[in-house]
Amino acid sequence: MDLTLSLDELAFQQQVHEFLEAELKPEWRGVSDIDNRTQPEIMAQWQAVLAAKGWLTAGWPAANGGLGWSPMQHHIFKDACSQARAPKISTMSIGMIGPLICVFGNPEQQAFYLPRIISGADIWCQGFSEPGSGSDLASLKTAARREGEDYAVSGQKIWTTYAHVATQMFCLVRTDPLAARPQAGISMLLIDMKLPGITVRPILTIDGEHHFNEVFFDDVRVPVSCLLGGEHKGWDVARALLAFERSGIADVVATRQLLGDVAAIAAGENRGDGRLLDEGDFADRLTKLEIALDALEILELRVMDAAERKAARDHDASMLKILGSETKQKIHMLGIEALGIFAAAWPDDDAPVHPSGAGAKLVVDALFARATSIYGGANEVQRNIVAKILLKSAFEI
Amino acid sequence: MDFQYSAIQNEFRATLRRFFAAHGGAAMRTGPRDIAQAWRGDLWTGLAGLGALAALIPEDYDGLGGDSIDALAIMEEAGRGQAGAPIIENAVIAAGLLDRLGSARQKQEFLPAIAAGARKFAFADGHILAPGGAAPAFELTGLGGGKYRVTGRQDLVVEASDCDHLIIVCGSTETGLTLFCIPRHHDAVMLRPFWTLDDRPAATVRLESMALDAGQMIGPAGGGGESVSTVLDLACAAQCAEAAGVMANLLNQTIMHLKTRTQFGQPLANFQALQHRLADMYAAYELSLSLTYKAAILGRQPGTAPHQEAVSAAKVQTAEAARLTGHEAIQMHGAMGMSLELPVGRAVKRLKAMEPQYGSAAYHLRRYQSLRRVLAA
Repeated sequence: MDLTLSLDELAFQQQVHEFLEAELKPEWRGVSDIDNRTQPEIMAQWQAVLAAKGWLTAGWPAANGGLGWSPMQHHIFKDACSQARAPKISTMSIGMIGPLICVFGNPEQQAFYLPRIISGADIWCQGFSEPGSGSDLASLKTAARREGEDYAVSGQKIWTTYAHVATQMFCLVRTDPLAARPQAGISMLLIDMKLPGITVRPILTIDGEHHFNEVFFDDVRVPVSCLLGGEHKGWDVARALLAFERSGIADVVATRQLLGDVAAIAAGENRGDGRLLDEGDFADRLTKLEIALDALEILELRVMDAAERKAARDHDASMLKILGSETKQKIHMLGIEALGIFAAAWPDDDAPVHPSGAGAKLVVDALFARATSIYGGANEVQRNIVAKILLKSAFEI
Repeated sequence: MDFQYSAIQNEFRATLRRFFAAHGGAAMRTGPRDIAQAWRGDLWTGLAGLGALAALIPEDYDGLGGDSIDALAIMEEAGRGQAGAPIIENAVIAAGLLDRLGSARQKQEFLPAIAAGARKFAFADGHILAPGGAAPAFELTGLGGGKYRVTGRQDLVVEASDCDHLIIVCGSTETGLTLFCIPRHHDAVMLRPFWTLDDRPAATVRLESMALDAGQMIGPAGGGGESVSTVLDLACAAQCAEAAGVMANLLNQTIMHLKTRTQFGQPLANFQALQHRLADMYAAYELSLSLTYKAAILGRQPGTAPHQEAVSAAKVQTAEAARLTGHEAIQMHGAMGMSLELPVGRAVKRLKAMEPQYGSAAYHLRRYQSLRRVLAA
């Protein structure tokens, strides 16, 4: 057992740090998820820098520009980017649909889509959830009826992040309404968002921002050439997403930065007899979360170590997702508590700002962070997955 | 980065697992106190024969020269098998203190005997419960010419009624700690034996004007503090490993119960309310195990600030996980979890008894806070 990086890993880490030092412009640092959406050009510029280095698609298959990094190398890279507060790389484009097209796309699809994903010419959104199909995704109803060389798509997607800026959607549709199992009647289509019949309507969230949308399809004609991975094979394509990445799920580095922000607020808060940061109950709860983060950091490394040896367990990603999202939410709540009365003001220009300056953003981030235990498979579904594996016939801890 | 045991360690673990399965609390038919008393004679030397007591002792003294990862492996298995054996008291604390502070003669006399299971030790010190801040239990008077007299009382000394020697700690952290090795069977050593919550033999140890000489002193007068602190950290980390083993055992018992117990015409495993509780129990175990690994790995540089911080973090997380897994295991076993006969209750009591030892979670939370400030500055 050993906690240190190998010499090769240390050299790689050094290389990443030097690259970030040289190439990550100061004005790009600390760009939030919100800014990523409202000003996608910053993300695009950063991705262009990474693409020039070849690192943007490091995790893709070797034939499509992948670098064959080890799980630990991916982890080192993500940690370093988080530490430098680099803009997030687009999960939908680079993390999800890019690798899916590499694996399931035909040569024509790869030649058309992949360069546009790398250059940022296309921004992708994910069309999975529907009004009647959330956690029970396989019950989705948006219909794609084969008509000549087209699918006629009609139905509705909802909670579609990025749909209002996206140029493309990877969309699960029902191509066989009579299939014996609902999963067997689903296909994945790559849909150009400019096609006639698509309507995007915003859904404002409790943080006052525009992250989500409803997307309506009214007899949209999608060419059959936009089918990814074969007709009725969409469920298998979507499931492949689960296996792509385990690193960075818990996002420990970013959460540790948040903890630092909360500590800074509490250091500037005087509540009667001294700093809130030193007040027993508050300090204890903050410290317990700091220790939980230490634990999560090692747990994530243990999962990376297992992945290196191709021994990662099916429930690891679910466990990291549950613990990562819920720990971050608890730290957010502590931050709101530390802000005191300032947390009650809606963060407009005229609202009073906490002396630490951190106030407004933390509250809206905390509100939007409630989504982290819902999206990507609600934490209840993740708990189902963990329990299912624990209760499998021969499992022993 | 590596969180795997070596092939040799895995072999060692498998051997220990078989041994504890055959002789630990899980295999108990008579009664827990019989088993606790059984960790003497053949069973104790049998455990020693596997190398469990020699692991941390230098090779020069018939030990295996192992490190904190070996302690992790041994104690995880001891916990899993609900051994309730005085391994930490002997292999970690007594061996650790004698190795660090003992004279060549003391090492020669005691270390091979610990390794072979021929002599058993208990550790009589208030620091075991409240490191750093304990009131001195034993008052030492120097009589000159290398002669001393000691008087005092230590309330809870685990294994005191079942050992050959006691290591006592005199003085306070301010004045410096002085250690002595004394025989248990002596007119001036008075024991009031009792059982711990988890059925281990313990006693209140009272010393009445016991005459000691410099030959019994372990290390320099007033100079034992640093070693006591380091060794108690190693003991704390080892006990976190034992707790991890107990929690794994509880999880396996709970999983088995959920799969086999039928209500409303189906196994309990089908009920989502219980599935989610099981998932949380498991996640708590994995989190605390992660910090226990970290504490064991950093235990290769014992006594450093990063080691101390890792030990404190492990104890805080382990105490929380131990409560959650223990209470959930009882709850999910239903009324059966309340039965004295089932190993579930025994495991939970083992976890409870660990809570105050080698520093409570509250003490370690405090220490983590102050160390973080030191390390951050």
